[in-house]
Amino acid sequence: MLDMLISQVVNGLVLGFLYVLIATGLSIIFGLLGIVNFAHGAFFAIGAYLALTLSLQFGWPAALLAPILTGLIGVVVEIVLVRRLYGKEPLLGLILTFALALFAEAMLRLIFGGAALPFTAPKAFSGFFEYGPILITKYRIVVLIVTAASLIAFWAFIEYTPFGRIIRAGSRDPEMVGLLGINLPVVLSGVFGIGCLLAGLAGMLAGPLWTVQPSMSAGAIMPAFVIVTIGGLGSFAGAVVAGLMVGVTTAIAIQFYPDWSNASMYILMAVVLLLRPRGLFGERWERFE
Amino acid sequence: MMMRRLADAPFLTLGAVLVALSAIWIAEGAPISLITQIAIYALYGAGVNLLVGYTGLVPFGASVFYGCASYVAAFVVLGRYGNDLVGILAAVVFSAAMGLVIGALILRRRGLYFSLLTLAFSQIAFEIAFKWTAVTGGENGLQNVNRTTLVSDGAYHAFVVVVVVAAFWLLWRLAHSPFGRVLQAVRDNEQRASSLGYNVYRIRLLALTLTAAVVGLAGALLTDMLQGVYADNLSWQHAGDSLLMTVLGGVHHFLGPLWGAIAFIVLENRLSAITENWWLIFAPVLMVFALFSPEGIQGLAQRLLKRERWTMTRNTIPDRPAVIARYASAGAKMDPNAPILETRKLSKSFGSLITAREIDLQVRPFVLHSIIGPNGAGKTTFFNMLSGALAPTGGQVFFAGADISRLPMHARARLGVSRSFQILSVFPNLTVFENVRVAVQAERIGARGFFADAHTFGEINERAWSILDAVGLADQAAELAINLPHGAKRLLEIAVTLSTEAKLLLLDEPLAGLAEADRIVVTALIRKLAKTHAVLLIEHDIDRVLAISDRISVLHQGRMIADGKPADVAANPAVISAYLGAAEGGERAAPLALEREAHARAKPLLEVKSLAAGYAGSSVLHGVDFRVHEGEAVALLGRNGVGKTTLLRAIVGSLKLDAGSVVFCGAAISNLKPYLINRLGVSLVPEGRRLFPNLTVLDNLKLATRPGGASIDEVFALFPRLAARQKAKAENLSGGERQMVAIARAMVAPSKLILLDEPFEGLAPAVINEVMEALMKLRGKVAMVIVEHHAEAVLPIVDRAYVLVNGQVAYEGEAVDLESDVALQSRLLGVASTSETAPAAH
Repeated sequence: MLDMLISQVVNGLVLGFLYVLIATGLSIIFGLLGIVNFAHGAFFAIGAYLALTLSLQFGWPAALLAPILTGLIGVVVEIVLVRRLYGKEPLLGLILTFALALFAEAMLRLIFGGAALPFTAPKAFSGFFEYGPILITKYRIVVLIVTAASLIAFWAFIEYTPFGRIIRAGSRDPEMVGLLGINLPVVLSGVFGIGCLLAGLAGMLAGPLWTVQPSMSAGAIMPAFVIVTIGGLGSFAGAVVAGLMVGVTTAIAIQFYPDWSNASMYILMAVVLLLRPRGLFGERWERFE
Repeated sequence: MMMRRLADAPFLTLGAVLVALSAIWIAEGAPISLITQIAIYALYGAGVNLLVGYTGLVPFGASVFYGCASYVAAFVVLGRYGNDLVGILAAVVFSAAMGLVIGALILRRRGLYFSLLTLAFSQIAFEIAFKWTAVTGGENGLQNVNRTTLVSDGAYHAFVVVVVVAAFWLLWRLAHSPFGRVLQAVRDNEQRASSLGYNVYRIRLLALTLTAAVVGLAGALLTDMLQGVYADNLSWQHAGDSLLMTVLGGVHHFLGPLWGAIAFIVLENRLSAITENWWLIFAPVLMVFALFSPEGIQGLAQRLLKRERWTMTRNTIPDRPAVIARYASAGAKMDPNAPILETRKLSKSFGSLITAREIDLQVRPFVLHSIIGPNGAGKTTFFNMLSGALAPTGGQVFFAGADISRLPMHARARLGVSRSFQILSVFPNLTVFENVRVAVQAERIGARGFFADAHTFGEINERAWSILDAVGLADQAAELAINLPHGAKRLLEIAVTLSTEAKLLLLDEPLAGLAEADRIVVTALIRKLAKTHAVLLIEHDIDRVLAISDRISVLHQGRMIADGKPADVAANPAVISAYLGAAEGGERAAPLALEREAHARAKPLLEVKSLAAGYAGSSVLHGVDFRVHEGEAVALLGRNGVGKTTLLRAIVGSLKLDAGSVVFCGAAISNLKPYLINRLGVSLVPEGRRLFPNLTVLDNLKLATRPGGASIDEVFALFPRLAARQKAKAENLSGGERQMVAIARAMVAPSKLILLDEPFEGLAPAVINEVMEALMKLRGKVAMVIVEHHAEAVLPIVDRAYVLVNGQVAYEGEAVDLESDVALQSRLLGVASTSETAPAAH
């Protein structure tokens, strides 16, 4: 029983870190652009499909380009579509990104077909890892390490680079950032691209864990919303804690109450919001209230 | 005539369209169920639009009601608790109850949170429906939910059409009922509705419950159409269906959901025949509509016909009576000798910041009582405590003898405390008449009444006409408030304030942003109202306040420093020093005369010519000419609200010019983006500092650093205190330190001109000296514009000065000249009454 619990917690952490990657992207896009990006799950799926295609064509190292390409697609989408929403009614943003999500899903269906495609992990990472009671596939360990490392790298990027400084400042007062001589439109394109890059990275990593199929976008967007809501808007720490909570809760539910596995995160969210209406680490942001 | 009747009764249009579609489908021999589906989705959309279009709430997961109700309808039939009609009834009741419960849980959250939380509820319902196979049939759903009353598809179709038309008829009645009118007021301006005495939370909860009932009805109708029920309507892909349709059709049109449903379902039907990926075509259609026709299909059609307007309600107002009854004040019978409002030791602090200290004030009926005070004196805080928008941290407020300190805003409004807002606060998308009527209704019947047309309540209409007539807006009654000129909006604001049987009027800067002609009109109205009400007025136009007030109280740094007749207050030394900022900061070295001459002969750096600007139709600045030479320090002076900050905003590009030009270094910069203007060398040290609170001092500075500017070491040398605090987050700095960072931030960029907006505001005298010294060191190296309302604080350190009065340059000249001319200073900046018009007698 306890062994199973520990194994599931580790699995939950893997899932949780993937969710954190997705949610972090959603969160910085929302924080700077004020847009709830319903299409964020679509970028997750795009990342998975690109990784699959690249690894089949050029071998698995080529899959590493997938997140970058996803980010570039994000930049293009920002320039063509999303940018036109700034300063408009939030309702239009919801509609546009939702339509975009369904468009992307239909596009994937058109190109790759609706069936689930197998995506096997590189040979080097196949097999199991055993430590005491913990039994886990090697690939999951790789995912755990890569996601954790990416999150640390992302945190360092936000905290220590000039661009990260602009992102942090812009999340509080975008107009003032412009008044300091910083070309805000370019920054916003960049932020949308980075958010999509993180989603694409999660998609690349998740491909071999789950199967690659057009509907996987829905499997990413709802947990991401839930995590951002639980963690508190715009809080990086909140996203990490909430993501791991959701991952572990879901994994444990899968093992012990399989029927409730998908509903468990919503119940968690309801409980957190009743206790802390702004989420765990939520601060009051006047821009969004 | 026929056309007008149709426009008056859009549910008949709906019926005609559904019948016509049915006829076409029958003629073609196509299955009629597609039209049944259109009718059901039109109803679904109409329910959702009651929230989106009428109430201003966006539920992304209204599907939770649709889906759950469809299961309830099925359970009733399958469990043999009743026939299909009973099932429909049970579904509606269940859905409404669910709306009440979910609403009570989530309506405290607004905006995006509300959207996402409804979606989350839909997802929970989806997971339950999908997994609880024993009850819901899980993935396969439930079948054999047989119709026993309306067996044939044709009969059921006719039934659905009749039910949907009837439901639209009820919704149309609802839209015109007192409750429906209030919903639209809440949508337009929640805070205003609340200040009129409406309980916004309860109203929204009721709206959500009604939406749930309507959507539940649609869900039940779907079950009986399919004779089965499936979970996918709850899934996230379909959660937004109704919202998408409604937006596609037009959320600001009563029939928008119908057009959206037709487009959505017919396109889905036709496109699915060609491709299974019909979203490939449909999604771009939606995106194009969202971006280029936010008012949807009906909005587009009306735009092409050049008849752009919302069609959520009938486009009429009640007939104007032949003789409009004279406005009668609710306060006419007040005892003139007893104070109507009294505050005792009223205090407010935000953390360590005290904005009101033990204020004692009495306001008597039929007296025009004004509150004045320099920026940051705490006037608006004081008003907010009177109206109930802010809870005091100490002291009491009495109204007509009763302690109202703990009453919420809407309860105070009902007693007769009525407030106008500094920022215009009317209901922009309602007619002028409706703005006033909905306010009158608040007092008489509240939000009660779901069926009768609100415009048939004669007494309320008469009262509304009287008020409109009293403020002089009766001729514009049918206009939308948003289309009124700015001055008329002000009058409307006051009219709405009068509507709540007001005894005490709290008027917050009613002259702000008005041109001179409008000021005269509004001032006369205030004077007139003071004869029958008690009036408490906050206003920056000091000359006018002194001329019209019966009594004046002066606040300064949260304290009441004077209270009495205008002439006495104007002569009070404490008041004079509060306004002119008598030297409390100690001695300062004045710039040398030699230097001043050199600057005056330098090339002009910034030239502003006949500039006009304002906010959303209000004109703040008109015909301003303003020049700064290279290396020169210029003071931009003026009392509060004269347009100093607006001028800076226009120069840095964050406010569009209405007229005129700005030339910097010989190049026109009027139309450049703010960041490009900054890169040319114009830096702003804004009012309130606007540091990034989540960044450290060092990061705040590094963010602004560009080659050619001062190095961070140099600014630390100038402000040694910042070097010590460089790792601290800006949110933890003291006011003085924040100001130093804000100035340093302008220096680390290669600036040729630094615009400082009230750099000494809220700073302790010792800190003022420190900041002042830094500015002295900057003099000559870079041109500066210092905005101040305390002339004495800055005149010694600048070369030239401008004084703005009511949006125009009233003085331009050498700083020394203004400094030595005390009479001129007090005329332009002080409180001395210069207007020859004696205080209006009454």
